[in-house]
Amino acid sequence: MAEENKTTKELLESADTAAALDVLQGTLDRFMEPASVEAVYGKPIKNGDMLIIPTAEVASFMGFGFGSGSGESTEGQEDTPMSGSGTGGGGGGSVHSRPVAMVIASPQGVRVEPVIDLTKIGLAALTSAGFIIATLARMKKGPKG
Amino acid sequence: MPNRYLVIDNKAGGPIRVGRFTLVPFSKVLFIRIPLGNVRFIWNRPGAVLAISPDGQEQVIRVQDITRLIQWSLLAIGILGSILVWIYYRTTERRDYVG
Repeated sequence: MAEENKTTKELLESADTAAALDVLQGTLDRFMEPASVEAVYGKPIKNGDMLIIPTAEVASFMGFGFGSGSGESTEGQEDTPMSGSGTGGGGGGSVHSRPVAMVIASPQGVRVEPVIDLTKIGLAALTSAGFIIATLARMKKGPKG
Repeated sequence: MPNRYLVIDNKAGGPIRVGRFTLVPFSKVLFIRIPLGNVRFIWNRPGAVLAISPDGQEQVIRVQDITRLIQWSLLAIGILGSILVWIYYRTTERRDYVG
């Protein structure tokens, strides 16, 4: 009976592990999608005799972990020891995408038009100005003491 | 690719036929894998487009990230400006002390 139970438990555990590995494999496959050229170059958009291909930068980050353990307790039940086991795992990640440029193909030729993000540039300008102003303020204040 | 810790690669996509031209897109991929905690990072960005004309002429058109270029330039200006301000005040302080 005990042998039969153990086999059933082992089967359940192996089924759980297989399901978890399937989920993990699926997640890993989806995680690798941003590494393809298709992730960076969008579907061509036709506009008259022009064809526009949007391009983007894709950054993807992912982390995961899993583990398993088992234990046996004989506390107060020397004749029928209790045992248990379990597996668990978790993970997380994010995908970030930002437009970079447009490839425009027309009968005259092929050219690349950049996509300029004014908000990002404005923030960078403010950061730079902050650096200089902070240094100026510190130097005008004079040495410590 | 996932079995290596660091991969820097140029990938070519399938050719796209546009009128008289054939376009071949290229992308630059950076893949980092940290075995501790199974951490993976992918950074993929457009590199260039190869335009092939009907007479067989090939033209490589670089896809530049102008926003990033301006961001780094502004950051460099900020750091350089701070250093220049620091040098200026240090030299004038020393001159005042000597004078």
